[in-house]
Amino acid sequence: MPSGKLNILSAEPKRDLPPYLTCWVIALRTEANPIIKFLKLTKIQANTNYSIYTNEKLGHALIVSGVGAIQSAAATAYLKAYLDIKSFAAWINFGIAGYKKEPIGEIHQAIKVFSEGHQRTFFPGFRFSKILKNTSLLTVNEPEKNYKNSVLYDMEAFGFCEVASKFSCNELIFVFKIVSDTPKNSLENITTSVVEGLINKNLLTVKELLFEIKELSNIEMKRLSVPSEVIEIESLIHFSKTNSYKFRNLYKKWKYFNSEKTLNDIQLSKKTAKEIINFLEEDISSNKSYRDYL
Amino acid sequence: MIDTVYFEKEILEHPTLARVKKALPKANWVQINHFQELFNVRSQNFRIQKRNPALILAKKYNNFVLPVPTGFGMNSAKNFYFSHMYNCLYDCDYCFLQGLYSSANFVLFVNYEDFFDQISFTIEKNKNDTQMFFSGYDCDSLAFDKISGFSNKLLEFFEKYPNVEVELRTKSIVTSSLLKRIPIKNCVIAFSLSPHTIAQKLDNKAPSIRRRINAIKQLADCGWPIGLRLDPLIYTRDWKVQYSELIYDIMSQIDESSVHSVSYGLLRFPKRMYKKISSLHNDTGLFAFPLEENNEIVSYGEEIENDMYSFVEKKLQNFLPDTKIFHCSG
Repeated sequence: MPSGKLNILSAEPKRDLPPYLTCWVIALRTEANPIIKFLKLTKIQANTNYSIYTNEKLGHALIVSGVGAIQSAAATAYLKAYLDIKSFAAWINFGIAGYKKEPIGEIHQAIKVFSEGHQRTFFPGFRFSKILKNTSLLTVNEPEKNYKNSVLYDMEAFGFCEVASKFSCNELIFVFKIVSDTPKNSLENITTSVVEGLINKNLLTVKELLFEIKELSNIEMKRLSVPSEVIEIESLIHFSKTNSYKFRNLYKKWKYFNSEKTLNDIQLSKKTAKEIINFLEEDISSNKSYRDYL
Repeated sequence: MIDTVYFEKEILEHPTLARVKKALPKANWVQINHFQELFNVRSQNFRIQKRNPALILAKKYNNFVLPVPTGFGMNSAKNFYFSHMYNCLYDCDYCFLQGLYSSANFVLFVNYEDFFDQISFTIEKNKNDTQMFFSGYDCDSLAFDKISGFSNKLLEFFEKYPNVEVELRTKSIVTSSLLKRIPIKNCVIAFSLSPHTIAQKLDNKAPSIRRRINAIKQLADCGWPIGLRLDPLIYTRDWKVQYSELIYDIMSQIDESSVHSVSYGLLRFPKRMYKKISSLHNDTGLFAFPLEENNEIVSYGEEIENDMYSFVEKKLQNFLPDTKIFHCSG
């Protein structure tokens, strides 16, 4: 369920369902349609500023941003806040793009994203060079008709990267584009059915990419997630920020050697944060010489 | 295999770039303005990036030669290091580079000639002192050599300065280029080593200890001066048995006269670096040890340190004179 507030720091998902692991930001409904169907996403029936689609079971969320870098940036931020997306989620900007060369319908991963008039360049995403072509991308303000350079041309990726890179690590920010127009196949030939056809043709590759991306998100989720028993204890006993940091670190070490045990029993007899921290410190140190650290 | 090479537009015509292009014919080449726009980005994930690092070719402009940290040198009065490369092909759990850099991508500085100019300048400036230069502080000196071709240039350079020592530190067994040439007596090939079981668990992607010892033996037989670097010493329940075996394994296979030096030092991190590295590893026993903090340095603590130091030193003394044994604390 949407949190309805800008709660970007909560440590654990409040939903019973798995957290959203993949967030899509797509400019046009036409580009989004094949993904919506493929992932069986349903529209959120709420009064939102953007059309948002989700599949809670699969952990996918999709927002239709509208055309342009600013729209894309705004929609990315909106989706993050609206669904309280965690920092281990992957973000995907997906859609069509112009390119200097055929073939039309070829899917690319943009590994360098820049925009004229901006100093900054983004190098988003873990590169899937074994699955698809890796290319540079130039975000433009108007549809490109000259295709001067050997780069992809789109109108959103730069804005998307600027905002998404604040929410998740750079390796979980992806820009995937399908070539829709070239000097030989002009922009004017693009219709709704052409776009949907180009995307449908690439759904197997998309599936392969999603498999890999999920693995990366899971790694990051495992690293960043706070165990439920830690959250439970912190909700029952007051921990200052420093003590919470200490507690979580000690817990990690303690758990390494006590994978079968839980802290719940200890917590019953320890009343303060300091007591719990002291207990963990002593327990970890007491047998330090006799443990195997490999 | 490296799939992507980012290169600064400034170095497009540099011969090292041409060499790398030949070595990586299938890579995707992407032009950038400056390596820092890619390498220093804050929100990078070192662990994920390490699964498929890219190569960044750049030009270095300053700080070519730096004095080594306190406690790092050996016999020489003046000790310096230089880094023609940042990051390493291997992925050792204890490696400080993952705390030093936010990126796991490799940076190769192509302007070797500027390094050598600055090293010459430093040698000349300190000509009245004994000097040693260390390569492989921020990278592995040999592991990337097939692509970079750096070590050959380095050896050609130091051949001209027989009174100045240079160390190439490595875990690599890519030693064919060294075996092909006449050994240079002032050039020490120094291998980082841990006991078999520890290396198997922690030295990810690096050659096994058995293969490293084989490489040492071959180089020693050829006449290259060998450095043995037991750094970091890693604590575990049976560390005494493990380190005894390692030292015996090595020293029973090479002649004492081949050994230029042995240095040992314990696992230690600056506090901030430790915080960053341990946050990257959730499931490594190495960071489950209750390390102690003293003067902003995180380590095993005095008791274990003294115990390990004196034990390892004694074991080494069975095979080597004291003049070849060094305690490294830098």
